[in-house]
Amino acid sequence: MGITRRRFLTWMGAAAGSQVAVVDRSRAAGNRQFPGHPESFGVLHDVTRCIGCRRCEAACQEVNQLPQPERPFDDLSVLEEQRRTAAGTYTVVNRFEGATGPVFVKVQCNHCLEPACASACFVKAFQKEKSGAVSYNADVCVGCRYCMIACPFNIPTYEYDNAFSPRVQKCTLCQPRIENGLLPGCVLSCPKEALTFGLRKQLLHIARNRITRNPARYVDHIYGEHEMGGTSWLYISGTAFKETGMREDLGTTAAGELTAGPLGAVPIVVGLWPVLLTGIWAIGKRKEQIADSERRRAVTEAEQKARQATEAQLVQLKQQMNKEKETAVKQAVQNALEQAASAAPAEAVPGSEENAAKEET
Amino acid sequence: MRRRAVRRSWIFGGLGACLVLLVFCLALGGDRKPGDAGRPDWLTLSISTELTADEMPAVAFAHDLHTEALTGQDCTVCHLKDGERIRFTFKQAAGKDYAADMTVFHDNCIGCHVETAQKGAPAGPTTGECRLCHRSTAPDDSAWTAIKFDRSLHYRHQSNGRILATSAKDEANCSACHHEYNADTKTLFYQKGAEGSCRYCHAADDVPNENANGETRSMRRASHDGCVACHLADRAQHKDMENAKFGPITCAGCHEKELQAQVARVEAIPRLKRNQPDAVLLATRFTKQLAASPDAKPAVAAVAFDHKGHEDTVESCRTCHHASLQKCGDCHTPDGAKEGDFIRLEQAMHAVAADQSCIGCHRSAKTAASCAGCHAMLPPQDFAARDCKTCHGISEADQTPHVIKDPDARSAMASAAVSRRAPGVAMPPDVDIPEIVTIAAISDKYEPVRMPHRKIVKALAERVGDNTLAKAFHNEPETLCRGCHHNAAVLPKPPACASCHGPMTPTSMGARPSLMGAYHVQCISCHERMGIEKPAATACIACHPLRESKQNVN
Repeated sequence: MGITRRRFLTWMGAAAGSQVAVVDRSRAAGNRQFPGHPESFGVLHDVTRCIGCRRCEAACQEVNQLPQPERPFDDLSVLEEQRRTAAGTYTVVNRFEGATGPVFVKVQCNHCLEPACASACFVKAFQKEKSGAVSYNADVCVGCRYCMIACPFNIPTYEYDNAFSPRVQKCTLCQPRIENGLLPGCVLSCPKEALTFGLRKQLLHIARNRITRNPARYVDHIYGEHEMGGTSWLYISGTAFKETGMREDLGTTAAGELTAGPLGAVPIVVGLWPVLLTGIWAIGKRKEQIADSERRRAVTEAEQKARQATEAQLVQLKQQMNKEKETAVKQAVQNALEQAASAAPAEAVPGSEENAAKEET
Repeated sequence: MRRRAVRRSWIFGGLGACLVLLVFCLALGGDRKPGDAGRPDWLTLSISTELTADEMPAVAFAHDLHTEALTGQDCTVCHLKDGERIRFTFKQAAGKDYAADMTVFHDNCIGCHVETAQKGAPAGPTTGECRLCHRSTAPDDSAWTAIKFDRSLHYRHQSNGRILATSAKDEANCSACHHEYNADTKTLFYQKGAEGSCRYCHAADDVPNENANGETRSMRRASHDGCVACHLADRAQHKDMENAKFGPITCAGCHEKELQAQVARVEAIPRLKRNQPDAVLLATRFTKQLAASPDAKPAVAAVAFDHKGHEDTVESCRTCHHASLQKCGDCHTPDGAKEGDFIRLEQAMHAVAADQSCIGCHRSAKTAASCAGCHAMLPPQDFAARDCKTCHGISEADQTPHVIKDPDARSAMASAAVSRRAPGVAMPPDVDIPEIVTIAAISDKYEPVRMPHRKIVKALAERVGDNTLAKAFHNEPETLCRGCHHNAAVLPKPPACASCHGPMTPTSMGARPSLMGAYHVQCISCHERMGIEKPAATACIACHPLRESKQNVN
């Protein structure tokens, strides 16, 4: 009767399966690969040109009004240690030992085309701007720091020493400067032009051209062209990227794309389940109603049948009683007639019957 | 009593098991002994080409260790004699029958180890100690280094009085090593003038064929059978000779880097003559066209190739003549042929990526520190019209059919053209080279740079030195200047850098460097590539002092 556990689970399975199938098909049909905003900017870091002078770090501090570091920017001994971005330090240069001498790699937000930080942020504090920058809105940020966990490049940092209004901190691609037609601070300050600012698609041409013209100088790989679905910051180098602290195991799928399926199913699930559950409840309910009405009908029918049978029996009994009565009357009449006949048999023989009937009536 | 005996047997059993386990662990994990690393004499003995999971690993065999252990005995302990000469394969192992070869190795190796142990001497593993021999291939850090039989070593053999000719036709001693193979009589013989690199016939691996032995031995086997056997014979024959220098007979003797460095070198090596020309007129296509039609016209200016000059600068003949000592055009025909892998003559001469081609070899020469300062910044594929003329110097008009058809006239023309070539780097007069150039166009945080321009030019000219390649190609007064002053006429006065390179703006980047980028890339990259350590790339004030008023601004 009603809904059993087994039936409920069967329906749930079917419902979940159909949802997954729908989501999958819609993903295949929809062109989800985001190639970046067409006129977005980026920066090409030619690692072979970098001399590790830290002018970019100094310029970054200056244009972003960041706090002065403990050790001055012209102290190059800081390069002896591998450093990471920190609150108040949007970019650092790290030194690695290459085959033919030191190799310097600048680290900062790579401004992914489909940023993992933005996909992890549930308040939309991160936004991929048309300029190419991944911007951060401190006003909506709730400080969950999911972005820091999501970022494959370990870039976003947190103002742990700011107790009341801590913010996530990372490179802004100098978005305000770009909007005013200025170059990012680091690019402008690089004496060796190891950083080239431009439209991302043009930077790819420049990078490819440099590799083609000097195949011996470069590894045939533009880092950031496809990594994590592509980044606005691109790198070319003469040393294998994984030897200079850059992850080569990230794949070419954007973080957002990996989570889009399951997360995309959430609204469907949230929207559909009440309907689904109500439906299941309604179907169960209706079945109960049908069963109930059927039961009632059966009872009525049975009652009716019983009544009819009783009535038929009654009629029969009545008829029988009537018959018996008639027979008894007839008998009594006959008896009376016989008595009368026996009393006056001679004279009244021809009309005896008629007389008897008259008497009766 | 009985119980005690049982207990004792348990204890010994346990100890034995531990010992077995220890040996097992040593065999598995500790297959490297101290002193293994850096040995040059590791051999991998394997009778399977590809080991399957069911087979024991190959044997890593330290050859010199065995040579030392068997001092006093000759090589025939392990190697068999083929007539007079020793064949450096192990015993009868023929490399054909798996089971037979395995027996040869097991019986002889283990047999000798057992025999040695019986004598009380330290000996190698015996039956049951499989993994002490079968442990792995040679260690990764094997110190084995290929030996180069370079021109110096060749000359030392050539001029050694103890190495004698084996053929009456040979006035020198070439026939001691060089030979040809007669396929009809299936014998080796000496042919004068046909000497070439061993590797022309002896390849990296054995090549099975119809020869007397059923194969042409690999270079490795041929050189061991030839060189080591000869060194041994020499030692035996001249053992009484005082102060004699004998060739090495151990692995380390030839294949250890330090010992290689100790081999005496001859610097002034007389030219090795083997009927090669002094100068060659390269006009193969025209020669073939003329043979077909007397009215043919040359398609390109011919090259007068200084064969003699190149002989001194290359490692060996094989640097260019990679497959045989024939003329390039015999295999690399103008239109490509099967013998030359369909690589056309033009490709064979100009291929940028090939080490044997003219351009490829010149290009790799330019990676030297003295050259790389300028040349690393010049794309290798860029040929300017003036570069062609440096080689293609015989004009179409001079290439008359008469000259082309006459070998003597050809070589005379080539020799004359070679001797006409500029003897050194062409330089503009000092007055045309500014002494100091002040770079002030973008001075902001720093004072202008006072660049010692003439000093730099002179230093570059000095770095060219006696390099014949550099001298041949820096043949115009402004060639050297173009290292920095590229893309424009240099003399009498080059355009200012700022005429093409401007300030850094968002829309200008990428097309060409900004002025700041151009200066720094040019100076710093050149210093880096030429190995000039001072001033350091990050020592800003070494080139431009900090401006006082802006000192506190980053």
